Amino acid sequence: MKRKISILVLALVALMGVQSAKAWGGYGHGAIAYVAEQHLTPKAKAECRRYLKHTLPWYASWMDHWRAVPPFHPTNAWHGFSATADGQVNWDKGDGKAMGQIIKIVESMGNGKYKNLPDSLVRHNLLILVHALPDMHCPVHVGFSRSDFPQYKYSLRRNGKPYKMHGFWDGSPGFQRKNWTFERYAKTVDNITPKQEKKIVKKGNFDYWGRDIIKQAHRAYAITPEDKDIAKLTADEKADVLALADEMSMKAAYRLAYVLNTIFK
Amino acid sequence: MKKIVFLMFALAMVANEALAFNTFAHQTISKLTEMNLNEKTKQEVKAILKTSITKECVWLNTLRKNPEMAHTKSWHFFQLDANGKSTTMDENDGIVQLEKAIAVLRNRKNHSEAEQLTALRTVIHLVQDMHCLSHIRIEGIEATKGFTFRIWNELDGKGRKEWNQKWYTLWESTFSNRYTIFTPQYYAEDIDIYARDKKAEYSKGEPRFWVENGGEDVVRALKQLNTGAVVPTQVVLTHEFNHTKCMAKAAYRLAALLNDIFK
Repeated sequence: MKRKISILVLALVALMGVQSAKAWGGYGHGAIAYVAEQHLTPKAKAECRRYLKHTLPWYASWMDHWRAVPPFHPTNAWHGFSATADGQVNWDKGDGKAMGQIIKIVESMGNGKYKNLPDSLVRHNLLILVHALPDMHCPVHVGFSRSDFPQYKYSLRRNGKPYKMHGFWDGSPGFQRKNWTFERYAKTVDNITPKQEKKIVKKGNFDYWGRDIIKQAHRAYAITPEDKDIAKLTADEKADVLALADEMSMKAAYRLAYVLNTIFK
Repeated sequence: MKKIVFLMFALAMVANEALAFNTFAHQTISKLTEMNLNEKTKQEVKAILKTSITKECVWLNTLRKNPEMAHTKSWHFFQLDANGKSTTMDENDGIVQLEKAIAVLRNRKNHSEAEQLTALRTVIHLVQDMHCLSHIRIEGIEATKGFTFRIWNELDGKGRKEWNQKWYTLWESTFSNRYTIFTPQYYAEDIDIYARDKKAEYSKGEPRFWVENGGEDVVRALKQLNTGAVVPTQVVLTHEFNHTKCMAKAAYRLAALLNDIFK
């Protein structure tokens, strides 16, 4: 039965137009949102639920579900951001894409301003935050230009056959974690100390977040270089994959919580 | 790859065709029901089932696979007349079987433990099933027996894509399968956040009213989704709210009914 459900989920992902190759997968998004929710202040949690009428994980993949709807096509640019050659957010490309949108939302909603906005707009902004902020932490959602990093355009392999680098890292939070519940994921992966948390959120310094995400994204290409067969990873290589996936997932979760706590303080 | 996935999907759909809500949705509704039972009801239910509602919620689905019990397949469906009213007295209809099971439980002192167990399992499952819109049949509306429509989307710059969608799988599994990454408990809590403002309103009434209420939802849905329709993804996605509402109604109503039976 579980296998049938897995097949159904796979098929549903394909058939409802959810492009799991273009985002952390549904599991990753849900798990990150779940961890973020555990770190919301009571007020932020209550306000998020009031506006969303659901938990954060419920809407964690909303942007992916709606990106194929023509009026929402412009949001395709908001699932990541581009990097410059020297490791900064490239603001010339799509106004910083996801990073730019997130900053705009925080500026328009912070310091109590959200109370002056229509509920539908607050809700819409939350739907973007809960997806785009984690999405931009996915290593393959950092756009490295072909001219600056031509060596990053390649495929992996899976049992000898070509396999998309993008798809592999999108699914990395759930790598080797079949059927894990969110609770189990949080218990296993969320080991961040208060000191580490401070270092991660850096008081909401988006510049720092951008540089940090870019720096860590390079690791993905080192861990899984061109033609790496992901079905034949060694134990150490698997550990490296999970280490990077978990680090970026936790940074995404804590930064999402920070943003929401700041907006709704 | 996409063709293989589609074929797997189609095969999985055929294999699951006989079910109403899938097991995951049934378990979720059961969790939400359990969250809304009072203490006395919880004790009485446990005494009869010897386990939780969640563990027994698909018993009737298992039963129908037994060739000797094939006649129970029709119990999972609920007939409304041409006016959308539940007037049937047909023993093969889910509503009649549900009413019989409720009568056994209300008069449980005069029934054996085995009869009470069967009745409670029946009540649990059929109240849930009746809230699966593809299990409501309306006289004169052929579409309620099932049909296929098409959905389309258009990824930016990649052109339009269309695919088939069956009416019954939409309500039975398509929406709830989106949340199999949740546990039934978490999914239940989430649905409760969405629906609890309306809990008192949803809990009112009797089973026949509930089927009629579902019939109204069916008629509304069929205005957009019907045989031969080609609808954009966003239209289908908006029906998900209806699906969530149906799951909430199933849970709140089942809890209200059990609380009343065992008061």
